[in-house]
Amino acid sequence: MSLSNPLINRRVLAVDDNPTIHEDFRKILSKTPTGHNRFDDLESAIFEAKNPSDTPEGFEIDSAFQGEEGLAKVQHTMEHGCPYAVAFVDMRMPPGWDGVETITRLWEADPDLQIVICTAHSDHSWGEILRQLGNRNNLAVLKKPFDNIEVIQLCETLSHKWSLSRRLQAQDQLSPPQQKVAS
Amino acid sequence: MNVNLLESEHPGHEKEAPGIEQTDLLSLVKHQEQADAGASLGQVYQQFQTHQQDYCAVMEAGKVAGLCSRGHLGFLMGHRYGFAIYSKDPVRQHLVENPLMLRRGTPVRQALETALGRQGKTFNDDVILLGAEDQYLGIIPVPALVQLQSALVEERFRIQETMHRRLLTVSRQAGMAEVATGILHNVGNVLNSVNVSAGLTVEMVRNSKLSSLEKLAAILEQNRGQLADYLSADPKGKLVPEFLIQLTGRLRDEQAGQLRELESLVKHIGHIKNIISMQQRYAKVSGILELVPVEELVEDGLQINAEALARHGVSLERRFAPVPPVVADKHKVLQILVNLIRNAKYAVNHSPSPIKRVIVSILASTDKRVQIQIQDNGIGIAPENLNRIFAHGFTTKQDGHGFGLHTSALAAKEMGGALHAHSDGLGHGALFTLELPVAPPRAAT
Repeated sequence: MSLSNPLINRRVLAVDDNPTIHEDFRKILSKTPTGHNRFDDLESAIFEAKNPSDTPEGFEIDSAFQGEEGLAKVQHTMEHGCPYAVAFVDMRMPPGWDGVETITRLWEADPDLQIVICTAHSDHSWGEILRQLGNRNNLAVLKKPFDNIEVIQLCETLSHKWSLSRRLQAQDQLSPPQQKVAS
Repeated sequence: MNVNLLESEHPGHEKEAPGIEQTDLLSLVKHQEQADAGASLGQVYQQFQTHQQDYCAVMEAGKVAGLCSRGHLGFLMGHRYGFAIYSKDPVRQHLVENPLMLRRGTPVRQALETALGRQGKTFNDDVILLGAEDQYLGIIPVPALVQLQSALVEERFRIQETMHRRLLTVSRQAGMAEVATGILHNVGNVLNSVNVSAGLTVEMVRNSKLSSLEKLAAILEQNRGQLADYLSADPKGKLVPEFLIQLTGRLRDEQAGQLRELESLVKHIGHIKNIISMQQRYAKVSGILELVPVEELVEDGLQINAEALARHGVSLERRFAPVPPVVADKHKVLQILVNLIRNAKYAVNHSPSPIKRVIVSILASTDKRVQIQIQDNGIGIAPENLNRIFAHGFTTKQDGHGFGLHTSALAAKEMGGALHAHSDGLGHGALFTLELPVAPPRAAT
């Protein structure tokens, strides 16, 4: 099988009760890929320069405004074979589930989902949250107000991590377990 | 009289230095007069003439047998032939009825309650103090007990006052923390968008295709002598006109994008400015009672919560009657209103009812008072909680600290007003009424 970049899952779910935050995620992540077009062709022709054009690919963003809605979206995409790689989950989303409950439910539906807790408050006990959630290696923390680069890099690394671990799982199923290769 | 006011002290609040309650009863003893039980009334009468005290203990076999009073002896001897009739009687036959004997270790409060709680004539009788082995330690006169009692009450009032002041400070800080949390939350979210817009703008400017225009200008400069040739015959030069058109489109897109982000920046910064200036306006006048137009104040309170109410789909109804301005501390009233509106929002959000309604009314209850009412159709208040919701530290919210309503009620009272709660029970919504005086309260501090 081919292991090139297109195999990276770039689907991202944002769960936050604040509409402007969704707008922020979209602005940062969903770079409308200008792609190769007439302008780039002309530019490289005239300037005899190899067109770098390594514009980041951007991500596919879905929005959910409550934990319940987020879970529905995760379940739906799982059923349709196009799961999310990364989900950003706000800590406080009245009136529905809070971040911890939402994350627990999302992981029940999709244990591979890479989750970023996103919060504007510093009054959470992280120890307590981690204790409640258990699964720590699929979890990152992002504090608002966040910088664009933080969000981009989290998405890049976590989506790669998601895709890599998927590939490893697939290999494990094909080969006997003792031949597991440490990376 | 209730001297148990401070029985339930705050945990963590240490007792003040050894106070009156630690008084040793022995220090109240005034004298140690005594008479033998077998002594005659005449002898004891003589004794009283020498020592000038009003009571003496009567001893039998080394133990206190009772109390003998100068007044009673005088009464008997003063009779016609009294001296002849009684003077030979042993004193054990004429003791005070039900004398009070206290043991030295008795707690001061209990001693006072027993001694001063006696009924009728016995109340006037002095008290015998005994040691651990029932040995006679002396006599405590009633006035000494009364003095101790009033000192004790005074001390308790002083402690209570200190505690009340401390409590007020804590409540005030809690109120400030609540406002601060609100600001942080509101500003924090807007700041996120500011950050994003600023970051995007920087990125756009940094990646601007202006550099392509510069490069093109340089090439044209190089070909300045044969520009017509270059543009019409050179394979690269022929592409220039089309490239220029494309480049213009790119730059225009860039400009539009930057403008969009800058406009969003201005909008968000304006929003932050509003949040902060509203706080400043009220922070400045804190503590000053002044004439305040009620409607404006209520509107400000609503505006602070407006976004949250809208976000949670709460429908807001205003029922404002024309009322005279009230005399109040703007900051405090605003704090109370913000609190009540936030509570209403919480109540409707946690209610199963799909319709979330909050009604804010202004009305004149009397010609001296104005009422601001916040009514919601939320989760309501259980009858047993209705009296407790104003208590310090009481909350039904998971993440509440129970200071909000407590602080609000205190603040309303300080301004000569009042805060009432009404609810027909769980699931029946709640009505909070803030009452404020039209005329200045008499003794506002």
